Amino acid sequence: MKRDIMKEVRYGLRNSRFLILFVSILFLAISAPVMNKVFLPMLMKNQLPGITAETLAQMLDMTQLGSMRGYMGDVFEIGTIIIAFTLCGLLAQEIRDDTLVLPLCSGKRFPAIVGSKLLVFGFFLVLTSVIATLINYLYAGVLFSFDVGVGPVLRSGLLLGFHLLFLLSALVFWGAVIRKPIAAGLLTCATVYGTHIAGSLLKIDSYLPSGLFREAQYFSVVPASSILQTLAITIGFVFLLYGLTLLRLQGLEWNER
Amino acid sequence: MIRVTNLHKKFNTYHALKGINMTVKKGEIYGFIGRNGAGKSTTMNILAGLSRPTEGQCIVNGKDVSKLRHPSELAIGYLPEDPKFYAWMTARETLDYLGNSGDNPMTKEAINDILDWVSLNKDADRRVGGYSRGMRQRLGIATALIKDPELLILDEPSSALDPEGRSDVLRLITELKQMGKTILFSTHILSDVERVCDTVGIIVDGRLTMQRPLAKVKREMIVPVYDIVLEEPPNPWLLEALRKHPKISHLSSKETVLSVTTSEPEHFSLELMTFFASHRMEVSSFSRRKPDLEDIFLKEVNGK
Repeated sequence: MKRDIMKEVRYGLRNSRFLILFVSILFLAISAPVMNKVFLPMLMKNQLPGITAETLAQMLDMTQLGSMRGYMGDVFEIGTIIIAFTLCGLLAQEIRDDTLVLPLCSGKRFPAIVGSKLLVFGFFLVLTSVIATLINYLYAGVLFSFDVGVGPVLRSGLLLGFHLLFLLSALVFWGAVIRKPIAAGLLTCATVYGTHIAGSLLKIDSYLPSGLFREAQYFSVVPASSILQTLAITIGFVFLLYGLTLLRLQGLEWNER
Repeated sequence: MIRVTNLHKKFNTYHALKGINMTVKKGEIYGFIGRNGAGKSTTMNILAGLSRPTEGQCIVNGKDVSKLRHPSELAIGYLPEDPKFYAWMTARETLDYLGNSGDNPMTKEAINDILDWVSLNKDADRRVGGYSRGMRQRLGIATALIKDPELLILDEPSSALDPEGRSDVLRLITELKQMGKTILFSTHILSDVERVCDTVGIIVDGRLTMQRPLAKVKREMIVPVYDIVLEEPPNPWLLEALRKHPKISHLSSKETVLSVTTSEPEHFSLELMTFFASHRMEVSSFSRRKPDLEDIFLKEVNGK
């Protein structure tokens, strides 16, 4: 497993996957407060000449919390697409290119191959989420004022990270099923947005991974009582998708042309 | 080491293998010859545990491939036709990654030795993405050897290489033979088979049409053919007399040209010349040619 983890770390570093993801999420963390502070008011003033600062403040949530919620929304809407298409080849490309043939023949096992992908990129996404959320918190605090404590911010960063871990496990699962990177990316986006829509419409967010994202967006001092349940369900989904991925891989035939 | 019985493989409606029966004995090099698409790689994939037979039984290293849970249970070395490596890894990292799975992890010294053996030590820290086809093939042979297996399955190891690369790969195969390894290797380069193999199997459209020791093939099938051009067309009674000659196994004639095959080539040319001289037949040309494995292969492929 150690060598599998090292391999995934090398893949992330040498193919700039870590860099692309970190810079993209960091960009969203920095751009959200700037948009809220500078660009949106400027846009509104141009569109509605004569608008007062008071009305503008009522129309836009020009606070640290508003900026942070904006950032969370951006990560969900744009970040999901960036992550899905940056990592869409994580397993699908390996199956497609037959790069798993030699590892399999040399004794590598699917649980270690897939598990190391989830561990390395999952850990990276959770860490990036926490760091980017903290940076967003600090930058929004500097631009507006600090009206949220650091505790809820760290918790929201972690919850967002676990939501992204669910995204990653869906990506690996679809990669094993479809074996086409772009299609796997598209299906992953559909899965993530689909659970969010289903959770909102049917009011079952607390039973779906989308509940983590919704809770992360609140930055509440006292978290919802159902959050541990949602977290457990999300981790359950991750394990379920991991298991289904392994089942699918066991059933495949390799090196066929 | 390998016993294949009535092996069939179907891909949807396409019947790729139609009842293959073959045996590879311990310590031998088995040359598996066939045209592109004949079923060589499909057979080897099944024997390597990467694909499942539709019907039939394959015993590799004492294990039934249909009952495998993982290809590595076969404890063989396998080199695919076009080995796919991680282009962003170096050769040393590749061997370290592949060599450290399961029992008996590979030491740094063992990795250096194997890199040295395939002449890649100088380029061991270069990324594999920048390697030539020949270098990748040598790295492929190195990866097949990382667990020091008794049996190696090499799918077209020398094809698509330049003469130097081919020569390198054949040298490695010869050295492996000297180490006592059993090797099943496929190719469509017949001179490679003649250079290193002990046994030859010819596959045509998913069927093994011939399987014999190379020495036997050479003895029985690669027999000399005498092409004789006479001054005048021979009389029918002369042709009949030739056909009855105890050393002639095959005779064909077209006007003044005769082609004679013998199974006992010793002193045969002298006997043949004496025969024509005693029948007062003038010979304007007499030549002896020896068919090679390619002629036999083409006969198998086109004749069946």
